[in-house]
Amino acid sequence: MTRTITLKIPDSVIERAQAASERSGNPLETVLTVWLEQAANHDLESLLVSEGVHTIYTPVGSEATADDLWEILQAHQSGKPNADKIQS
Amino acid sequence: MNQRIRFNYTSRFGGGDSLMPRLNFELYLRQHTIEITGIVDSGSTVNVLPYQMGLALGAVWQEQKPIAPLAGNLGNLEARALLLQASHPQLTGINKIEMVFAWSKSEDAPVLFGQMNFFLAFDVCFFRAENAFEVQRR
Repeated sequence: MTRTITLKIPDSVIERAQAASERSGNPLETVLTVWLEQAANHDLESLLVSEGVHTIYTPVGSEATADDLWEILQAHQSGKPNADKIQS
Repeated sequence: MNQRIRFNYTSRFGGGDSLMPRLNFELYLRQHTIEITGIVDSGSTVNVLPYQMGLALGAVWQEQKPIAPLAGNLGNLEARALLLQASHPQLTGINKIEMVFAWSKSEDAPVLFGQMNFFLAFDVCFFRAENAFEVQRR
């Protein structure tokens, strides 16, 4: 059993779906239906909270920053003068 | 030997949403003290402190050493090093530990306890299915 529902879909999503449709040779409607089914199989309800915005601040890949902080920490702990300007 | 302390995941808004491993710490800089809540984030390369909290500690942006830019969506804002002392009643007792932060110009970023140097100071085990995590001072 199926139902027909009219959805307003952003252009950006339609463009991706059309590209997928052309690559796969499936109709646009089939691509969108598959995408919806895949989303329904995952617990994506949390994506709907907080107005749908989930910003990830985790700075993965900041090794250079970590190196800088490590040097500052090491210099402070070894008592080097002017290692930093903190007087904690 | 330092004791391993178990904490519950907590929600920012007190509900069941956005459960995260959050810890409260007191941060100290000279005569200033603030209490902060941060996310224990093993994916974060560094500790992160948002701009306003640094100001609340009396830190002066221009006096802090510039560091390499952060990655991700904090990368468009400058960050500086901020070396602080920190304490937690159960984890550090009356002692203070040194915690070095990437002090971001961002006012929206949460406090993050990352690899440099929270995870060097503490051993952490996550038990997400139990909504719990354990922390032990090294």
